[in-house]
Amino acid sequence: MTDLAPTRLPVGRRSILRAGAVGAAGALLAACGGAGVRGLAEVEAFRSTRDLRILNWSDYIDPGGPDSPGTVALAREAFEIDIRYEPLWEDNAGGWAEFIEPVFGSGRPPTHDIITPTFWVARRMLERGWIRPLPLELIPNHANIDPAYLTLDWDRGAAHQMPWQAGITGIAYDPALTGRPLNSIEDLFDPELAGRVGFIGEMSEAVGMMMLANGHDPSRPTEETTTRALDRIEFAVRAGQIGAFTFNEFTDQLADGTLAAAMAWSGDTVQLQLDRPDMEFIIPEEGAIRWFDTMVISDGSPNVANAAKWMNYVYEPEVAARITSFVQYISPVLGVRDALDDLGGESAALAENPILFPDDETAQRLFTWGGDEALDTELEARFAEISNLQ
Amino acid sequence: MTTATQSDLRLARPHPPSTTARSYRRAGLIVAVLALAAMVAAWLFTNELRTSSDEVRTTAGPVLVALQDLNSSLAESDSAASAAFLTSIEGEENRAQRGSYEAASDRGARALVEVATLAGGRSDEVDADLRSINADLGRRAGLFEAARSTDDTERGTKRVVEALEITRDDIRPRIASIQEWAQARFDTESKPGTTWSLVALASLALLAAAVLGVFVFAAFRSRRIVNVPLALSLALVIGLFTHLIASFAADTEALDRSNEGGYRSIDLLSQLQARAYQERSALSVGALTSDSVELEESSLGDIELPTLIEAIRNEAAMDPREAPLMARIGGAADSPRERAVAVELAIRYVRYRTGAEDVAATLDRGDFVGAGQTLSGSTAADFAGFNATLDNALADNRAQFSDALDATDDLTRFLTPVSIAALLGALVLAWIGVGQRLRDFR
Repeated sequence: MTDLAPTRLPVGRRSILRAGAVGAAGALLAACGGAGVRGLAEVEAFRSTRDLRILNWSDYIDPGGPDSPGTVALAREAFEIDIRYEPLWEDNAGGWAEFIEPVFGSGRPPTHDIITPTFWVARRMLERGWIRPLPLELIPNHANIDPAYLTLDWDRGAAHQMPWQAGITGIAYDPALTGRPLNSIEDLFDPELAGRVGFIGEMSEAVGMMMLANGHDPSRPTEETTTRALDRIEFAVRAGQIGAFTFNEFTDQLADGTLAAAMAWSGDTVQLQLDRPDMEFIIPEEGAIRWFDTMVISDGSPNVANAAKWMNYVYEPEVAARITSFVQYISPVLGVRDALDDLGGESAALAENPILFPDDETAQRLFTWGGDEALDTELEARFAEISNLQ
Repeated sequence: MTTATQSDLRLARPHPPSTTARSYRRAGLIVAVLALAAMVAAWLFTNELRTSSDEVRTTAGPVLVALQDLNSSLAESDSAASAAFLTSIEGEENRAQRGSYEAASDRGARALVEVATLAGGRSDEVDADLRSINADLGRRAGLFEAARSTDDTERGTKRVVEALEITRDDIRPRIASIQEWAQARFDTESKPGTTWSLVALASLALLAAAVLGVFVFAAFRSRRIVNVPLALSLALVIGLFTHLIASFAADTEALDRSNEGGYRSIDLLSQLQARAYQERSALSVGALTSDSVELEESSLGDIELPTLIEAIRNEAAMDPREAPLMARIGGAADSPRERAVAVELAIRYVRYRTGAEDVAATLDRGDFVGAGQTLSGSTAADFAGFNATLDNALADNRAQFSDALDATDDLTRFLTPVSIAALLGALVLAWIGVGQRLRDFR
């Protein structure tokens, strides 16, 4: 739970995710193949240009105002380049279908130099050779990446991506309806809460949480451990324990009392707490799932040097703090906490928010899903079947 | 008037044409003998070059890399196992640390299999070392598991310490011994003997001189200025001579590049990694056994971080004998990207080292619980960040090392057949050229 008063977000970062999106993405991804263009383009990519095209989720950066320019405007001025910042990435499946698969799969030039999908999409792009290694020599602030993002087995050392923002999937609940504090994922299976429990609609997060409940590590899923997790979810659905599979609408259902407890996204819960400060958000004792959206440079981008400038810029702690104070997700940039303190006011209060800055003990209980494409595709199919039972 | 008989005429006829023909035949024979000798010498030389390159590319080089992987995975698994045990005393075993231990152990086992596959059966000493390492790894894993399963903290601690001692006292010396063997192979084979190269080049030079001699002789003795087959033969021999010199130089250069550009950096990075892991294990053991730990000198020595960063970015010269390890790593970086990674590595090392020094100071104060908490908290995260950056740098350098060694394969793969074919071609052309001249006399 948090005691600060954050600024309201117009729309949550995940507010546009909808059920079924992931399954569709799996099918789309499975049909893709091929690699981008190299050779002369490699040399051309580092030419001095004046353009930069960025694709991101909506409401995911400070827009600025008439008297205080936002990050994009400041970067335009600092680098004297034309930045086309487009918040058109509405969800991973749609983004893949519109901006990734038809472009990279066909060898056409990319529509954007920087794309900011969720990490598992970045991983699939990397596996297909559709993103280029980061030009580390142009990004000294790469050293500011939180070490938690450096140990991913699919991109050890973050040589191909730089996280944009991160969030936690934990448990949100209304103490008035549960009648007691919740501490564990197991509490979601309390018969007292039957039919009033929400499960997250993202396969990797729901299965990951169940793996944690079973004592398994979601960063290293296997067929056996994921099957056990899915069996348990299926059993709970059939037994009527799970009332709904939700995306961001869990906030509405918690607010109107349809759900007493739900697997929940941290950022959306912070927003919910603006109206309902009595709502609690916990990281269960077994652990929770951490996810992140991440910046990648498109293979074949002609503006690599400018892309590097942007990445380096948003990894300045002061710049990252400005973004955090608007989006209120977990920043992957070291030094943001101090920079928020320096900003003062509401921003300084954010520096004390345990959801944005989990302590060491909590951070050790956060796990990032580690499934590969083959496993994920299988799991998504079964997860879709199970969620349709409900 | 005297009338000469037919027989007298025959006897009196001057002999120059037949002498010339004999000269041609003799010259042709000399060219053939020299060409055959050159073939044998070229075969021996190119074969030796190929064998040496193959040995470095397929055995000595990969064995060195696999041994370093084994070393670093041992250090990582030691460190993770002790950290996981430490957290299990305080409460629940840290799953991330346990995962690191398992992953590093798997990597170590794979590295050992790789070494055994590449170096096994090459030397009795190496085979004995491999068998011992295998047995010791089993013993060590058993002790870690026993420590994990016991509820008796004191007994568990004793087993963890014993397992760490096996790594330090039994496994590492044997790895060092195999490393010595592989390094010796690498050094020997990456500098192939010059005897056969000199013999081959000398015989080619002699052959070229002989063909040139015949060519000039033919030009003087005939109205034809150029005997085309002889000219082509000469061109082939000179071309082969040049090609062999160029290939030898390029092969040597590629091996030097693999050694200096890739392996040297791998070696330095591995030293840094092993040192950091050992340091972390020592801190874990200190927290477990309630002992103080004296850390080794920082890998930055007395150099301040900003100074080092500046030096790396500006490629400032550093005396390799006196510079601290991190400075030598920066000095070995030979591209803007490598220098950028070296800078990040230095920054992350300092973050980790600051935490490690805090832990050591906390142990010194007798706050063993506090030290354990810091060690498995922020210091663990900083260590993971440092180590991941280091792994990245290692991967880059391993790729550079392998690429340079693969280049030797491309350079030497067809050298022997090309040499033999070129010399056969030169011989046949010379023979045709001489034959043409002989026909002119019929």
